[in-house]
Amino acid sequence: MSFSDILKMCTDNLKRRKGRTFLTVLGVFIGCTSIIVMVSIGVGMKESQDQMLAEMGDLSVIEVSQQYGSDDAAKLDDVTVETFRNIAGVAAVMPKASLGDFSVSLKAGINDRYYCDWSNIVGLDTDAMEAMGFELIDGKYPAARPDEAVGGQYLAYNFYDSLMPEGYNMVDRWDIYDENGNELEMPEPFFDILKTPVTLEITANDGTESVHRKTMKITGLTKEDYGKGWETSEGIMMSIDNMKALIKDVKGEADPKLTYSTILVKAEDISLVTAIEEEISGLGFYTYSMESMRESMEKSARQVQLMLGGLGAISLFVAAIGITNTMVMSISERTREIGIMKALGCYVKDIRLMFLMEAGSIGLIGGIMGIIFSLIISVGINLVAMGTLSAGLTGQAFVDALLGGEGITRISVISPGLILFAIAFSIFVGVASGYYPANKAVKISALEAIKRE
Amino acid sequence: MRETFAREKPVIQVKKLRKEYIMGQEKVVALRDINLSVYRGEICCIFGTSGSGKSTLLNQLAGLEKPTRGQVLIGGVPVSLLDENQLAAFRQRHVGFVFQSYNLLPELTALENVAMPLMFRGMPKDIREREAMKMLARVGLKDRIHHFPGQMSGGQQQRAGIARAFITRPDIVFADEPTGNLDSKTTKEVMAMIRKFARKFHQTIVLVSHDPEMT
Repeated sequence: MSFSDILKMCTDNLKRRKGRTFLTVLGVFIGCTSIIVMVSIGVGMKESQDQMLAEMGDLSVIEVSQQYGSDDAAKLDDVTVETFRNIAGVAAVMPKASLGDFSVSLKAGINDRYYCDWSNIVGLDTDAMEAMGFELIDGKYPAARPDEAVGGQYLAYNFYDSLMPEGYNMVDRWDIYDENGNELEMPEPFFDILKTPVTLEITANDGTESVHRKTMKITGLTKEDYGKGWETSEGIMMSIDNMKALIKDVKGEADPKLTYSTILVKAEDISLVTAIEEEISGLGFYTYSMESMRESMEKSARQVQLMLGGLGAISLFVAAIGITNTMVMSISERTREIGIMKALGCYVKDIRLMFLMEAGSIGLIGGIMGIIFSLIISVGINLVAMGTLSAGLTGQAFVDALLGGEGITRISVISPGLILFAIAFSIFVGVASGYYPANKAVKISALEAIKRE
Repeated sequence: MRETFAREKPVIQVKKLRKEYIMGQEKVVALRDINLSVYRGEICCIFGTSGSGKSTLLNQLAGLEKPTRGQVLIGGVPVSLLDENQLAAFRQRHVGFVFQSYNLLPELTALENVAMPLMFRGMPKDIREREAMKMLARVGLKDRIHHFPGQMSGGQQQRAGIARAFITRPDIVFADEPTGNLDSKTTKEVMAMIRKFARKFHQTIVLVSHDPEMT
């Protein structure tokens, strides 16, 4: 039999029992939709994770700190810095010291009008900042002077205005949505921190309550990057020499051996991060990197995807049983016909193919319907999540919901690959469910044609 | 295979054919050591009361069932030894069937039913339907070609069945009680038609009936 003849026989048979075919297709349709939607939500989770991580910072930086809990743990000092520098694949190393023993508050403006109760002050190698991948969004790096430092991108937003009443005394940089949910420009802070000297008010935690003031000039602002530490967002970074001088001033004596709070290690490439991180933690240090965080997030995203996909797979499995059931029924109804066809010389392989194609087309039709419906659901979910439903639907919103884009967070992501996979998989499920009934059909004897009722 | 169908050799040769069925605990011998030769152009009628084994014999001759012992040679080919695929090819080339209950597929038109054996051979639709049209015209169903079996009378269905059996110009046509469901007038018409085709294409007919009047 030619292929077109087999195809016609099989579509005739599907049309013959329209109701039953429809119900079976419906099962596949539901199964297929649930798998696609579930997987697309998993993919969407991963997409937004990746977007979030990319915004958060440099993936090639490892933050090394001392192990907690034991005094004889490996120390972070200049020797350690050298050791790290010699690890293969390390591009740059930057030790960071903090003013952890002191509480620091900041003042700025005339008569200390603006104040900030708490800030993260770190000392680091300001000359190496560029090599480490720090980025300035404004200003310049500090010169080697005792009164210059750089601040984090949003440092100015941490200041309160002491002349304003409660509730109006600070600028909320997260308050960027109007009453309709539209995104606005971030509001300006109270003052330009690059033009206003900042005074550090340092209190020693030794009970003496002696307050030491030091006025510094913020020469530049760093781009927020959690991979390098959150002081890039809201803290102050000065040179290690400046920090040592500061400690000496407060304590009255120089600290002979400054240990660092953390050491930043930048890898030459993201792919080397895991190896370098393992080597450093092998030396007895605690490490943290965006890359290791990304890996664990990816792992859990994969697990969630598997789980969601598995949930969808259950309904497709039920649908597959439905196909098998339909085919078995249809074959037992057509026993005599199959016998006649055999008696008239129909090849066994043609009979098998006919039934496999019947089952496969049920899968295919259900799959295609499932894909179309999933796309509708997916776009719908995304439109709701993007908030476009209240802001008004535009053609662009639909395109964004379907294809995504820069800065668009989609909950459900259906890629062309997922569509192709869904089609192939639904055909496969159909054919596989048709395998047993087709073999049953093939075994029917030509004698069935002769039998008398 | 064709050249073995020489005129002097029997078309069907049955040697010591035996068929037993197991019915529960009992063994029923349906056919006991049958020897038989049918020559080309002969019309061979198998008569017998019901239960005499005539249908069993037909099944054996047509290769629908395997014998317990013995051999059926059709054109020198031992049909009992053929596998499913060879049997299908063999039936396409050499055998036609006329059934008691017509056995037309209910979802196909008369035309499609008659063209079906040619479709199994892989013949293109336009050619096989032209051929089927001719056959239907010969059996007097020219204006019924697009009717479904359910829309035709028993006699008409059986004539379509005959057209289907002869469309491949088979060497042998097996007819199993072809008139069993028909009234006496139609019976005569149908039998005349079978005879006419057999003469025309010089074909062998093996006919099973319980009614000796058929001759």
